[in-house]
Amino acid sequence: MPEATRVRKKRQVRIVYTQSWCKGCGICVGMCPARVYAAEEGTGKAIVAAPELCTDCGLCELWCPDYAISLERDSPEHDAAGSEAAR
Amino acid sequence: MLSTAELLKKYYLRDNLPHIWCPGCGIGPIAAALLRAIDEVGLDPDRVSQVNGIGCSGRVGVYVDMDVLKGTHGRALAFATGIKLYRPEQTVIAIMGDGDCGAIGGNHLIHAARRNVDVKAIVINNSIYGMTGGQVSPTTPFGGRASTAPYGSPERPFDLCKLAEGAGATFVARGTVYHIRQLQRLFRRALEHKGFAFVEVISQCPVYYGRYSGAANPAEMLRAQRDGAVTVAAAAKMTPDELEGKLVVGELVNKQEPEFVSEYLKLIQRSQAGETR
Amino acid sequence: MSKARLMQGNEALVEGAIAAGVRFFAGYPITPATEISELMAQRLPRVGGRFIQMEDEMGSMAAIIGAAVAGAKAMTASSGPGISLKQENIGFAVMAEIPCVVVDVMRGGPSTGLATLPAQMDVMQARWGPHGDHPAIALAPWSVAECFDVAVRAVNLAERFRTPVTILSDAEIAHMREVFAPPDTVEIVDRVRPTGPRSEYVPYRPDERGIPAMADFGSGYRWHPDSNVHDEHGVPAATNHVVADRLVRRLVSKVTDHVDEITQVAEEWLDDAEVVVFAFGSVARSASEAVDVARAEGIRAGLLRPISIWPFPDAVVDRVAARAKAILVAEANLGQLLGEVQRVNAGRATVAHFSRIDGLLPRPEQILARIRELASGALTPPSAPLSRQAGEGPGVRASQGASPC
Repeated sequence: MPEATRVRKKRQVRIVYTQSWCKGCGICVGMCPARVYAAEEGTGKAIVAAPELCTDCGLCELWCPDYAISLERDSPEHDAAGSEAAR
Repeated sequence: MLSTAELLKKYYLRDNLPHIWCPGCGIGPIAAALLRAIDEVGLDPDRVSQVNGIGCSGRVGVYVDMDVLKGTHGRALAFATGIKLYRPEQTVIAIMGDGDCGAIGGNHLIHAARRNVDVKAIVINNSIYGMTGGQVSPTTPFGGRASTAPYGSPERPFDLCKLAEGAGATFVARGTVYHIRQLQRLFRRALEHKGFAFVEVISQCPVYYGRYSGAANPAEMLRAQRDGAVTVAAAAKMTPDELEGKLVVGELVNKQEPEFVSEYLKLIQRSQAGETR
Repeated sequence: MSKARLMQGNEALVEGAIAAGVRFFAGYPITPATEISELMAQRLPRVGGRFIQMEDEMGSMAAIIGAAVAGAKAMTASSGPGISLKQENIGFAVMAEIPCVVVDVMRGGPSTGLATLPAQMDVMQARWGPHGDHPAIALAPWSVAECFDVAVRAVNLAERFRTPVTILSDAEIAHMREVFAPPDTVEIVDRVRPTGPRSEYVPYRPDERGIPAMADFGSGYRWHPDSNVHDEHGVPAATNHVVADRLVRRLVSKVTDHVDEITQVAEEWLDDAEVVVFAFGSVARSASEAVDVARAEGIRAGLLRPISIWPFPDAVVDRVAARAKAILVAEANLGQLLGEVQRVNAGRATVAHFSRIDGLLPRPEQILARIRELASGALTPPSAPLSRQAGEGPGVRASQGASPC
């Protein structure tokens, strides 16, 4: 059982962040349990300050009011769809 | 579960984005949860007919690649009833705000519930009229401030779920933006329910309700949703005093009763066979 | 042709609507329109249609709009107080270009008024009821047979122009019974639906007729009927002032550009008429008799009876104004079509007014008396106080048991 948990936490997740859509509400900054996000000086918009700390809880993507965060996981199809859609 | 990028590609009208909702508004995530639920159930988007009310909550359809009727204030459930009765094969979803559904639309809410018409009523409850600048709504708490309640509201608010239940709704659920995964599950259950399905979503309006209520920021409003919520199971063991100020979240009512459109289709057969009852 | 039988006006209207393809009706009880709801409740399921009595008048108007968007030919029926309640949603149908028919069986007003008695006081409401700039199409029957024909025409015009169409009936027409044999077939007009691929459908781009093709919800075109001012894709266009101007002008002109096609009038003795009575609906029944008697007395009287009230039949009235000596506008209101006639007349003929608002039908001899005055040149100036105009009848002061007049 501990083996399965470790595998899940090690799954690749890529944070695809579209800053132009961010309105600086601070939800990801204030709510991310791993403190991945920080507020940019001046604009107040989010920046992905520490992506390596991400535990893939998935909540930033679901909570972001502006659809600015997309979490791409594991498979090549996911990566392709993510990078295309983020444009 | 679809990522945001996949969701946008599959269900949204990209040219109409980015949306106009305020920083921190809960409507975006609620719409996404609904679309994820639709995706999970496997509904063909052509088989979905959406009706939107007036207000911020009524703006969901502008961004979504489906048939959407954006009608007059408060009448979403009446439009929806007409669509469903004429085209029963459609899954009809009405998205409304607390004012649209609970104030001007109150009569249509109770009758849609009474009829048990198979329409999904999603009420995005941010306890304020946001689009018009922050007026008091039927769900603003007693004493809560708003632009038309500058001394604090002297009125008790509705418990919209109790109202829907009292009017006979056969599926009643409450979710919050904070409990976003549970919300998606509740939406799925509502979509699968055969009969009137009412889902109230506690949402945050940081720019108006948040400022009037003294909330510091949107994240704090999400935490307030978390702290104010109790599950159905936990609530069952709490006293009325303990429940004071709390919101029960989850599935509150789920029962099967004759659904209006199905009954009408049977009536058509009876009338054509020459029967009068 | 079906067998002729004694039929009520409201019943003939229902038969006409169903013959024209109406398969969805939502209503609410109100005198003198209730029979329409009752008959639709009986008749529609038998032809596979849907009936619902909604919880209020706003709901019934909304339900027919929802059904129309789902592809139905849809109708509702009410009277003054209910028509007032429906105005916001009628305006929505105008803005989103939703075909539907609204029957107003007029009764005495204002407010609860004379619930069981006829009047013609909703004429201007049928034109300007909803707020905003908008066109209006309204038809008025004067007989049981015409209730059938007007119902068919109203449904067809709604489909043709993608706009709500009003039928102005009244308590007298609705409840009178005449022998009528409904025809077996009628002309049917269907809205134009898109046929091409989804990617090419622009929901509010007008075609060569000035009217966009309308897709049914559920047919795969995924469009957004919207109550806001919107662009051709149905996206709200609050900051696009060019779009806002263009849309509202098109909503109006798509009807006003086709007045000739919509105009429908009936004429009696008009060719050489010196005194023309302008009347519609139940008042025209008395006016017609009055004109016949006047002719027998040697007066060159005639009757111009609009069946299409809105858009107002300017061209026809203009021709009459150019030739006649006098036009007597006879209405069961204090002067709603009077102003329209005066406008078109532009000072040529003498325009006089006859009104009766006590809930009783004007008697032919009341209208005849005015015709005689106008023929002899003894005119009541149009500016005379309304309360002193001839033709009110004894009902004005009597509160009950009014003596027959």
